[in-house]
Order: sequence, then C-alpha cells, then structure tokens
Amino acid sequence: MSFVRLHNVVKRYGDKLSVDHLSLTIKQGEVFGLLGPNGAGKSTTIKMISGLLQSDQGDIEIDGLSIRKNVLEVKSRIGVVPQEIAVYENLSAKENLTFFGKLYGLRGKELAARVDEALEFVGLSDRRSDKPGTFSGGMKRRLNIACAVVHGPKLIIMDEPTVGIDPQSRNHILESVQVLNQRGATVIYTSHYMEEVEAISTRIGVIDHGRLIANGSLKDLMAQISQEEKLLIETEGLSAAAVEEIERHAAVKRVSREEGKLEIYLNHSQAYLQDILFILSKNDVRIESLKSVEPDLETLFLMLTGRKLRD
Amino acid sequence: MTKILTIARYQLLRTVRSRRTIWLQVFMPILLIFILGSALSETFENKDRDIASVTAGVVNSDAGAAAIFMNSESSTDRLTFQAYNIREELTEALEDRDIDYGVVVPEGFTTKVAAGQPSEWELYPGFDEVNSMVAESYIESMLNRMNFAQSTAMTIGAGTADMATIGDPSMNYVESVRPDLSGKDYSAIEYYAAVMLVMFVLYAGMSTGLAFAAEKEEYTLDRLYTAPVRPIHLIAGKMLGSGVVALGQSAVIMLCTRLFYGVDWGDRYLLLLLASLLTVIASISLGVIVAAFAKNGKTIQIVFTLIIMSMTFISGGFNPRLSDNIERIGEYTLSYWASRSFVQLILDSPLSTIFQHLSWLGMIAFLLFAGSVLLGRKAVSHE
Repeated sequence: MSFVRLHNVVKRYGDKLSVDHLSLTIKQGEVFGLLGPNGAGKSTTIKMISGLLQSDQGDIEIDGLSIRKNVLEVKSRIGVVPQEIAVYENLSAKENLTFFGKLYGLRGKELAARVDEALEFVGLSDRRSDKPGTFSGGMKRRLNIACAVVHGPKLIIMDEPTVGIDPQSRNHILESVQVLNQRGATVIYTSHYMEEVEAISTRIGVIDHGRLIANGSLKDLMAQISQEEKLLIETEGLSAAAVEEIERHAAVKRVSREEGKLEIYLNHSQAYLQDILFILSKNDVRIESLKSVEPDLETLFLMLTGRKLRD
Repeated sequence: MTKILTIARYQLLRTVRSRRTIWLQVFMPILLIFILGSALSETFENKDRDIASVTAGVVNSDAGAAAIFMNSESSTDRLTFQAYNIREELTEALEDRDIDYGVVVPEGFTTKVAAGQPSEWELYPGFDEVNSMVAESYIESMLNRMNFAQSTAMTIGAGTADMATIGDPSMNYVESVRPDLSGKDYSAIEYYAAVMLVMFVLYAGMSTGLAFAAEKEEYTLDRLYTAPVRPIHLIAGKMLGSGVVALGQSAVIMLCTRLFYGVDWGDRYLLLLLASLLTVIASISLGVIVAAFAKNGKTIQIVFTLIIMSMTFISGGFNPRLSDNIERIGEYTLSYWASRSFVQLILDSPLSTIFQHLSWLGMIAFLLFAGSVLLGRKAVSHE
C-alpha cells in the first residue's frame, strides 16, 4: 500500500526547473533513501512532501490525502527532522518537546507521556531540564529528532540528520531510524553518507536534475552495475597522454584523476587489467599500488549522475 | 485559538528569559528616566524671562459686564483678546498656536454674579508656559476687579445678593477653573518617565521584529511550518506574546518610577491601561511591518533604532523645548501622541483632553495594526 505518492510534480524557481515531472511512490513501512547531488532537487522535493512548499504542477498524496487540499491534516501525520538544528536555545529539552507537542494538538497526560517517551527514545531523559546551549552537537541532533517524533508521526522525513556529529551519536541516530521504522513509521531519509543509506534503506531513489533516475532496493540497483568494477591505481609520473589513452580503451567507461591517483571504471577489470598496465608502462608511468574495488552505491551514483555525491 | 495561545505563551517565556530583553526593556528605561530627569530638571524650572505681548482667545456667551471688561482690557499692550464663537474653535486655535491662552465665559455670567450666585470661567493655558502665565495673571487680576465691582453694585442695591455674604472679604463670587491642567504641574522626572516609557515600549516592538527574524535565522520557522500551523497562528501568537511582555514592561516601569522616583501616574488606571495598550499595539505592529521588509535581525535593529530615536527626538522626548517647526513635525509621530497621553494622565487633565490625545494615539495604533495585518504574512514567509 502506497503511503506517499508524488504524481508528475513540477516546481520552478523563476526560470529554473528544480523538480521536473517527478513521480514516486513510497510504501507504508519503508525506509526510503533519497540520494542526489547538491542542486538535484532533493531538498525541494523534501520540502514539498513536508508541506513547506507548494508544487507548481502535479499532486502529492500522503496517507491517501492530497497535501494541496488537506495541508494541516497531512502535516499532523508527518514529522520532519530538518538538516539544520531547529530547536529553541533558551527553552529546555523538555520545554522544546512540550511546545512542539502542543502544536500538534497533544495535551495533558498524553503530552507528558509522549514528551517522556521522546526524551527516552533519543537518550536525553537525564538532560530534560537542560537547555540545548549546554548540549554537544550530537545531543542537539538527537533533540532535533525528538522534536519531530514527539507526536508519533506516521511519516518521518529526515533530511541529512547526521551532519557534523560524532560516530557514537551517528550510530544512535541510525538505530533510532530503524526502531521508528519497526514501530510502524514510514521513513524518508536523505544523506550524503552512502553507507548510511545502504545500511538502513529498504529502497533507494536517486534524483538528479529534478528527475528520479533510479529507484529500487539496494539489491536491484546493484544488479544494474554488477558488471562494472573500479580500479584504483596510485602512480608516479602520470601524464595526460596516458589518461587519454586509457579513456579511449573500449572496455573503460569512465576515468577520474586526482593528481597521481586514477579511478578507472570498466567492465570485468580482470580481463582488461593487462591492457591498462600496458598503457601506463608504455607512457613511462610507474605504478605504486593497484586495487580492484567491488561496485557500491557510490559507483552507482557516479554512473547515474556523472558526479560524486559530495561534489 | 489554542495554537495561537501556545505560540504566545512560549514567545512570552522565551522573551522574559532573555537577559538582553530584561536589560533593554526594564532596567534601561528606569535608569534613563533617572539620568534624564536629574540632568535636565533645570529645563522644567522657572526663570526670569522677558514678557511678550500675548493673545487670549475668548468665547464670551455673556452679554453683561464681562463683555465690557473684555473690551476695556483689549486696550492693554500686554494682552489682546480674540473672539471665538464656540469652545471647539478656541481649543483648535490653541492647538494651532494661533493664540496663547483661552477663556470661556459662560452664558448668564453677569446675571448670576449679580444674583450672588457663584459662577466659573474656563481658562485654557496654551503651549507656551510663560505666555500662558502672562495671560492668566491679567485675567486673574481682571476677575478680582470684576468681583469688586459686582460686589459694590450689589451693595448699593443694584443686585439681589445677600448683603451679609457680600460683605465677607473671603467670599469670591467669580471663580476660575483650569479645565486643562487642574492647576497641577509636572516634574522633569515625570515628563521623562512618560517619554521613556513610550520609547522603551517601542523597543518591545523591535524585540517582536527580532523574534520573527530569529525564527528564520535559527531555522525554527521551517520547523513550525512543518507542524499544522498557519501563518496567522504564528503572527497572532507572536504579537500576543510580545504584547503581553510589553504591557508587563509598562506596568513595571510605572511601578518602579512611582516607588523610586515618586512619579504620580494618577489614579485613572483604566485610562493608563488603555494608553499602554494602544502604545503596545502600535509598537508591536510596527515590529511586524519592519520585519516584513528587513532581511535579517541586524537590519531590524538598525531601522528600529533610527525610527525610535528620531521619533523620540522630534516629539520632544529628549528636550521638551524644541523649535516650533520641529514640534509641529513631532505632532505627526506615534511617540508624540503616546507620551502626551501619558503626560495628560500624569497631569490629571480633564477627560475630554485625555480622550483627544488617546483618539490620536488610537488612530495611529489602528493604522499600524492594519499595516501589520497586510504585511504579516511577508514577515513570516519561509520561502
């Protein structure tokens, strides 16, 4: 059963087309990883699903309700964890949660119970009376999440929730996402960290130039690039002529160079390894190390968008 | 409505927890009232001055002796009378500074005096204290002579007054009343208490504008809009929260100045509340309007400081004796009508005078509020 449905959604900023006839369906109970380079239309899509922006064309349905016609009802079913830490510094952790809980219509004992539950969930129960100003970056991120889940939303949208935090808090957040999902929440998760998306997503969508260019489970997506491998070669005396010759090889799909480091994407690296080594030797390039890498999501992303995720 | 109250309550909580707000909106005004009140108290002291010729407006509804006296007095080189038909024309002329003083002689004045009944003249001081004093001394002296003449006339049988009463030297048949000021004056501290109260309530408006900017700069605005909250909830909640803080600020300033400096704000508490409320509405609305155009908090601070300082200056907030031209411009400001409303309450002026000032203040507050309603959405726009 689809919980989120985007149908032919278009969003323009002046002349610039940010989201280009995007259609997407996310099923109830899924953790949907949304990937895309900067400026791909990912944040705009997230904002439209959150009800922060209105689409110029098309419609978005959440839990069977059109966001255009029922914006407040839809918003009450969503919890958004923004990329930035959006909490009030001069309210305590508990007061922050109480405030946002009240905005979602929670009152009395139910509100108190939900606030306690959310604090417990993000591991901030013992700091409930402290103000966020005294928190570490990771604790602030966790409070940021607690504010979004205090009302028990059916859909949780997390926009890069682990930016700039320590590994311990990052693990805590990733575990939290899985717990929320196990409790029945549908999650849309965006991140620049491929390994995070690989670890928690049941389905992944790749967006570029406002279009969904890949969509499926990690296994499905990997199948698309199973033939492609990556050779990492560290060299000395690498010349432009050598790189150009490698690029001209029929089996080579792409080459990226960073000073003496070469990344070569090709089908069946083992079969053509000798050719590559021959070209380098012919151009007087000395090989310092060589490694063959299995395809991963980063490879897929590069293949699809021609850019690295952090570009 | 519950969402508005929730936003208002937390806005209030966050504002009162801000040390900067408490310092700016409570301690600073009390300190400044003391400093300005002490430093500029000489401005309010009376000194020897050259007496110029003054013009008094008169509404004379009496056909008897008063008219004769007015005519005889009009010949002096110090005082000239200018006739008006009705009281409103006279007060308007006073407001426009066409005349320096106003007198209203009631109908049947001469008959009443002749009958031994007390009667009153209404005396209206003008803007210039010295000129008012000159006019008043002439008119008081004229009244004394009139009392004497009337007493004499009645004593020789022309009137019907009780002879025993007329013979009493302490008896004064003709009394004068001062409908505008009731004989009360105000000190430098009281003047600056009113002016600073208004100035710092305007700073509460700046805090409101900054609260809107902070929601954008601290990314909480987007978070608020992901909740089931409409822009109107946000605007109304923030205005209400800031308004309650500003009203509390007014009450604290009034209380502190009364306790520490003996400022007598009068006992018309409802009117004080009304004046405070109108000033707060105008100030908070101005905060919303500025926030709608300003890109960030710094711009709001700069714009507001310019508005507040210039309005306070041209309305006589720093120095009550400004040139006529500046004073006339000052009459178009919120600060002028707000501070003068409080001054009239301190002076315990007649209700008509107070309501006249409150009406102007109310009109300014209404216009600014209407502006904030029109521009409010822009102030809380997140796109």
